[in-house]
Amino acid sequence: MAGWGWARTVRGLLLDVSGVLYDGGADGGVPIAGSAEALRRIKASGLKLHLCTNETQETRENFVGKLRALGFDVSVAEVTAPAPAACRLLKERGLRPHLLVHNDLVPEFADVDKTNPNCVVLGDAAENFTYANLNEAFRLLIGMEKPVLISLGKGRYYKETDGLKLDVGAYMKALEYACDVQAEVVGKPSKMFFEAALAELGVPPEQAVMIGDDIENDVGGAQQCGMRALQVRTGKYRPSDENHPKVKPDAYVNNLAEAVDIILQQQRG
Amino acid sequence: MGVRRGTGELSQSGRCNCCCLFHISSSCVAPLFCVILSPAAFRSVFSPRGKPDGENRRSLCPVSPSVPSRLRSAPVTVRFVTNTTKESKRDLLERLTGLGFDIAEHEIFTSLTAARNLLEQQQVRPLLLVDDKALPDFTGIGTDNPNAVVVGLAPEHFHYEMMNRAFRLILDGAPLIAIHKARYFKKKDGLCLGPGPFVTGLEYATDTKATVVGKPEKTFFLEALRGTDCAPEEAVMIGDDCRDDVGGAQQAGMRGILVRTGKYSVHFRRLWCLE
Repeated sequence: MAGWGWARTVRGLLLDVSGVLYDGGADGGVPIAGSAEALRRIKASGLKLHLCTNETQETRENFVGKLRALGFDVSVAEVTAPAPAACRLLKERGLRPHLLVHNDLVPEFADVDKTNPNCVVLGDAAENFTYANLNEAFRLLIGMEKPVLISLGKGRYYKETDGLKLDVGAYMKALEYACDVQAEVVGKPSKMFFEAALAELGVPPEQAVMIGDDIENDVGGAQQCGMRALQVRTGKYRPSDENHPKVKPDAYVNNLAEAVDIILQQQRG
Repeated sequence: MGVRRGTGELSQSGRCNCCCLFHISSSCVAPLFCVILSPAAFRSVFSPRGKPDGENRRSLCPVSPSVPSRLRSAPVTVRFVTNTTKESKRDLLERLTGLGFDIAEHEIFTSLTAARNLLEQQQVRPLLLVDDKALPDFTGIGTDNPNAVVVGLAPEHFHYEMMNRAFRLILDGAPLIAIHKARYFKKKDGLCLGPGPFVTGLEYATDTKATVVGKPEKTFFLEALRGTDCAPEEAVMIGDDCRDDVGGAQQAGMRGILVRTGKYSVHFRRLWCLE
């Protein structure tokens, strides 16, 4: 296949989860056709595999449990997610967060001192994005001498089984505008986050490929780190993504299964 | 006395502001025959100790109710313009007439009026994220199966479900119309998020820009002048907000005059580099 020569040198795959493996939803979500089988084939091929997600609606343990129930053979050690990375950052900098996150994510911050907060941590809080909760975060930030807003990702939207939903990025922008601050992003597309995932993958960026449905956060972010990146035409993908003014994926694929087909074919060739 | 264009400030000090108003309309800017007033400034002009726009009635200096009639006896057309997002034209009129001002409904032009005009021009059906009190200003506008989004100050609508609904409409091509983009406002118990942050979030998620209809947008002032038979260069705006009233009006080609009452303060003078 033309333009896929680079795939011969690939040694590891970083996969986005929502919109690549499955579409989330209140019902637990549904797998995307062929993706569980594709995951098995990657593992059987000897290629390295790691999941790189901006999922912040639940703990990694619960998230992995849900994926396993949907038929995906994955473990907690194979997942890089923003909340554990944020916990490390908070401890390093002596920050005590006020959390505006999903209730199911709170246990990830069990070991972090949350008294007398000196920063706000924003995740995909979904129903917790009420006016009262946003206002509380706003008042804390505006009252700080030097406001620190940490956002777990900055995605615009994502797809659930009942339609597209606003992601944390929209609310991050709202608080940035209200307080005239710049949020620090932990999660994709932050370079540090991709580098942490690559370290887990155990492959240098030039031998790794990122596969995701988000043109900016998955594809753009990974390319900034020196990786190849593919966009799947599943999940939040919209045809207009193919005219993105700044980001051009190394290739488009219809779904994860097709990406794996082509990469494995190139590896054999 | 004179008017300095650059600062939009009346130079004469130590005189009561209502006199300044009178001077504007009668002698010093004779060619300008349309006076646009922000009601906040308007009220404070006549209330020497007036605070920034508030919902409470306050005592006025004794001459106040006579001033609109003095303006009216002068050869000028008057409009009262304001950035309200939750007070309908009718309520505003009632409040002002209750305070003793002789004002007619057609003389009031608010950011809600501007939004309504835009909806009518574009012939769209809005999802209205506005306070219930503002709804009378949208009477007769169809809202079934919406294909536009209007955002005012409506904390009760700023929640996950409604934001998702607005987001999906905009992503499907519905225009996003913002009454204004204030970052926050002050309540008794502290600062509260204004419509601006929510508009900004929707703009980011959909990669679009909202059409802002309130002050200080140029179109707001031009719309307010429509029907007055008066060109921008023939009009003067009098207000207490240096950016929204004076700056906006000047951008639209009008003259702008800043009153030293209402929200005007040393702080604002510094903020807007007047000193």
